[in-house]
Amino acid sequence: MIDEKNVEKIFVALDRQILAAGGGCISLVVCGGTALTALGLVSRTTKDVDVLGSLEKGNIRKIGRFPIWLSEAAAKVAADFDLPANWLNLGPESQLDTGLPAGLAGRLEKKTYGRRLTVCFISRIDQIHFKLYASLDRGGYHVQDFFKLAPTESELLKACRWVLTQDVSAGFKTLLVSFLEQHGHEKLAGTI
Amino acid sequence: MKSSPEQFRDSLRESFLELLWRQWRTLGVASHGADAALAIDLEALILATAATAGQDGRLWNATLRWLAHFREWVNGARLKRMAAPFTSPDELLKKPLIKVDAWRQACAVLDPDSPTRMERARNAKTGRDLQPPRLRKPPLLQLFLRGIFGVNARAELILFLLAEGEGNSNQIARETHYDQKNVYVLLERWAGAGFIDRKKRGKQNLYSLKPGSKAFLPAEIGNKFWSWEPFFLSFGRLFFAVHSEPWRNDAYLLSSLFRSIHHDLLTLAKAAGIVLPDPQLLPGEDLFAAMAGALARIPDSF
Repeated sequence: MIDEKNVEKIFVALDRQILAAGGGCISLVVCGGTALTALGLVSRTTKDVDVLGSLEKGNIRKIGRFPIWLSEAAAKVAADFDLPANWLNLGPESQLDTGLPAGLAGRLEKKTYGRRLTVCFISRIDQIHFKLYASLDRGGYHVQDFFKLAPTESELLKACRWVLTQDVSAGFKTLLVSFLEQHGHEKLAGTI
Repeated sequence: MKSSPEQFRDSLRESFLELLWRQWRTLGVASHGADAALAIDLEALILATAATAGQDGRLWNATLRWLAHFREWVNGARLKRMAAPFTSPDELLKKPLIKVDAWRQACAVLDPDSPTRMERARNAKTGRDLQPPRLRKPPLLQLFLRGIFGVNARAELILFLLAEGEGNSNQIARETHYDQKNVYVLLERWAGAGFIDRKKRGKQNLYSLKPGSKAFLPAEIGNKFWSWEPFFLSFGRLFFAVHSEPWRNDAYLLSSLFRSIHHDLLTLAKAAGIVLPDPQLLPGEDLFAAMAGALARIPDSF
């Protein structure tokens, strides 16, 4: 499992393995639980690293498929830290098709882990956007993460506006209003 | 217990090179120290020494001189078959364990038609620093058997049967680095001539030496371990890593390498009576210190 104690070690290890595999430099844009943990926003364990894409010249681009050297490096790290085989995955990459919160790339928080690997974690405000959407879509631990981020009313409003661009159905809007009311944001729910 | 990559490099280098010197000493290269205690595999030894050529030039030069004088003992075809994992880019380290120059030198000196070899042979004389191998030395059982049967698969088939007790033709061919069909034909001929026993187990024929067939051997020898190629491949990888970037000073990458070849190392450690730690219990570079101390001691036991 990945937590605040080993997240740094794991990314440093990935950098070393990329070097050993003869790989090139790469900047991965990471969201999800690992980003929350690495930035100290939420303290919890996670089993994987959700990669949104790569950062190239200030833009987030789709990776599609990891280069062989990165897959090999990730497999070694999996064995070294007892992580699942797909611990480094492109699960959220489809988010690039449906749209990101405006200005997300400019708010990325970069950390360099060695000579090859830079990880760009999505910022707290963008986590609020994604976690609100995930809370409505999937619920569960995403709801806990969302409230641990303690969004302000204005942050919540921005996030609400964005999630309504992700699913324009009337049913989804009803779900959002109900979620806000249920969690003490009746006033905001009334403005949506 | 060794705890840094530098200390591990020093102790591994010392123990591994001494193992190689011990075997070459037994073959007739003059140097101070004890002879090998276990049966030597000449082709595997050539490969292991070539893999360390950059770190011990004196040993490599002595090896080339030995090969120039006594190449008739080397099975060139077997050497080439066995060389593949040493001369191709290693799957874990991405580079060949034997540098191209060293391999070319070995091939040149072993090539009977090569002018380089002819020149070396003319110019080089055996002297106090190089003696012909004494075939009745127990660790030179392979050469003794080659002396009787010729430089072909027969010596290794007997070595295999002495060490393992029994085996089928596939297993024997794989472990002796010979073609399975040739091995099968030889074993069948020997079984037909009554030199070895053949028994059916399931769908396979298992071959073993007949009781009393060891009578022609020169002396008792600890021949339970003779399969040097896996040993030299594992330690060749370690030796390469501790002398190469990015592994040489990186406890994590070395730990990762230990983990990748742990299964092979476990077999060798067991044969040496050394206990290796369980890698499952030591994530990341936590494995390094526990493994490094144990690994550097393994060559001393052979």
